Amino acid sequence: MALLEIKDLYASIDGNEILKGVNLKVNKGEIHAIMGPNGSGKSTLASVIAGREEYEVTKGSVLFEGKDLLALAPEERAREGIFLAFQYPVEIPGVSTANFIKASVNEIRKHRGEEPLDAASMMRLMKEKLALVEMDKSFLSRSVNEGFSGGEKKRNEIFQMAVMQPKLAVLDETDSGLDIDALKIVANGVNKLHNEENAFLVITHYQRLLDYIVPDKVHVLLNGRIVKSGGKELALDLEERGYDWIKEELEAGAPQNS
Amino acid sequence: MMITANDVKSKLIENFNVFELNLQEDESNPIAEIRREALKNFEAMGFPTRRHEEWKYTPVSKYLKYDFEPRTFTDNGFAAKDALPDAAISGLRANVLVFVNGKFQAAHSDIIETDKFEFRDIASAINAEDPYLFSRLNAVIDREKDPFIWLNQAYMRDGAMIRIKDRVKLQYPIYLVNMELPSKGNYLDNVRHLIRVGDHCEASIITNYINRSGEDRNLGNYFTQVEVGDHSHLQFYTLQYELGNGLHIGNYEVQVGKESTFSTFFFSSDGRLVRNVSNIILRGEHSEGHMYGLYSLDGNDHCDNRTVIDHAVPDCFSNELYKGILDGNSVGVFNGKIMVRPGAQKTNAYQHNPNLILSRGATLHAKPQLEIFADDVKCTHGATSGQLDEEHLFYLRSRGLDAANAKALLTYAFAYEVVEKVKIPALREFLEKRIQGKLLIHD
Ligand SMILES: Nc1ncnc2c1ncn2[C@@H]1O[C@H](COP(=O)(O)OP(=O)(O)O)[C@@H](O)[C@H]1O
Ligand SMILES: [Mg+2]
Repeated sequence: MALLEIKDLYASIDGNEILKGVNLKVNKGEIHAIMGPNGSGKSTLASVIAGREEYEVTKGSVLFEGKDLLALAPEERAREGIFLAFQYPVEIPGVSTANFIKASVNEIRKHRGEEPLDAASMMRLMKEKLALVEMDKSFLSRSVNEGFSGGEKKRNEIFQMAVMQPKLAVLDETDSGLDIDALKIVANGVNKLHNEENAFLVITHYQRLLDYIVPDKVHVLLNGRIVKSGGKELALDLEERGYDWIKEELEAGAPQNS
Repeated sequence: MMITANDVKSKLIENFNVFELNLQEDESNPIAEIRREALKNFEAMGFPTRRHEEWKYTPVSKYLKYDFEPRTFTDNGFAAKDALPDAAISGLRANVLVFVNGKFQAAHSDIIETDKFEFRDIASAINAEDPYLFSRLNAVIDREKDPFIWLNQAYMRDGAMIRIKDRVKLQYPIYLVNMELPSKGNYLDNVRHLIRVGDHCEASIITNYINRSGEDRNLGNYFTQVEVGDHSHLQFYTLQYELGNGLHIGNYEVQVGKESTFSTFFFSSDGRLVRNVSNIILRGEHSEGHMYGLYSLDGNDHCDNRTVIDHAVPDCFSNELYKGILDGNSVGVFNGKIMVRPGAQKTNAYQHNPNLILSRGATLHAKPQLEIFADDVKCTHGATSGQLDEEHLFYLRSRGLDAANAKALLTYAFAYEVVEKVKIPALREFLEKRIQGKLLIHD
């Protein structure tokens, strides 16, 4: 059974149809990259997986470990093991990062039938994961993302991912706006967490990230549909040739899977 | 038959003699004259109606539907000691002064710093014909505006008279506990507190209002006068968490001398009717007024906060932050006036009133007012109201927090901006717990 199985998914927002028949299957242990030009629907797909309520699914299904994901509230999805690293993480003044992460970890543990972590173990867990993304522990006492630089916000997302240990992590352009050092930190975080039991869906604009996170599959999302899938070499092609040749191929009726 | 506010007024005036008899004050005591004059003023004004601009959004006559009788007894079969735990603030060491049904309770009070300030209960100051008391009673500034001040002056029974000597730094706060106990009948308690802080002092005062009956047939009418000398710092905290459905009117009149700082905090979270009126006069140059408020209301709570900060002289600073959280069918009223008198140049005055509206049934009336009669001044004000941010909610939920918890966390974050200003650690922790408890945040 696939970890994630998306079948013929249509989704719209404010009456605009954005996803127009997405099909995607992700198995445990795999890393998939999703690429595509701006506005093609990548963030929409991520939002629908995470359960953002503004998006209306008009057709299709999403199964997570065989269960109907679309029937679950966002927090239930998180507890089941879905994690979204936001393209634009919000700043939440007044909510301390430590308190928020503590609440989050314990909600997930409760869902798994585990005891809440005591203060010392919680601290140990957070410190270990902070080290992974090379963040200082002073971050914990600050409000969530408040006054963080762009790079710090992205690292904070990876930090949270590391703490929550999801089964499926969706990274929405976590690489954009990062300098090469920060990019390596993010990639390193992903590689450290990656194992045979989890999977990653890495949305990116640039091939650059894929030098560090090596995907098993690369998909091209164009105008709300996955129009081409291939191995990691597809990313290099896209980097070199852009997306126009795919559009042309499509118009010429070429086969969609190389 | 339905009782109206007018009936309540007539009965109060009619029965004034009975009240006086019960108090057994000496006929020759100057207080008799002070009371009668106040009664006359009250009679002339009557209870406010909606036509009074100051009462537009607080229809007080609606709540005056019982023939309230000024309470002159204390023991009503409900022992104060059973209610006192309600006033406990864990970890707070303080000079405690307890008033029950408007009467001082020496047995439950405990002054630690006896050498640093004078305390006298007003009932005995009246009987001793204390000239200081009379001078303060005759120095009410807000003569025109509020009939409840006159009602208080006519019917006051007791209260705290506190004088902090010059050059005194209190180590512990003064904790004034005002407790109304349940009793059969419809009672009105009129309590007067008089506070004088000398020059070069530092002190903090906490007043806590507790209505154990939790019924709207109990009306507490409090009037507090504060004088801060020169070069002094006073923090004044007001807690209104245990009023149930009780009715509470609080008038505060504060005068601040030169190079002094007065900070006031109102934490209100209960009460069928709560009205807090603060008149703060900065009457010495280079003085500061800081006004903080947090009203978190739900159910049928109605809370009306009015502040006037009066810049009477040049070179003063004031800052006001009142935050509101409105849930259920609650009503919040905020009216903040900045007054800059002619000649009060170089005034800096800021006011901000953000509100979080959590339900469709809740109503907010916010009205900032500027009356500026000087030209070289900086004043800003703003009132906002909004809901919780959907993006914030989704972010928290996407990390596994359920919707209710995410809301509670964000609401707490909204409130915290005020709570963090509290400088007494035990009080701050108490407030954090109260607010979190109310929001059902679980660890
Ligand atoms: N609230 C909205 N109403 C209408 N259209 C929207 C809304 N939000 C996003 N869109 C449109 O949906 C399309 C896909 O957006 P998005 O999923 O963010 O693309 P990507 O992440 O691939 O850049 C874009 O054309 C965008 O303009
Ligand atoms: Mg996007």
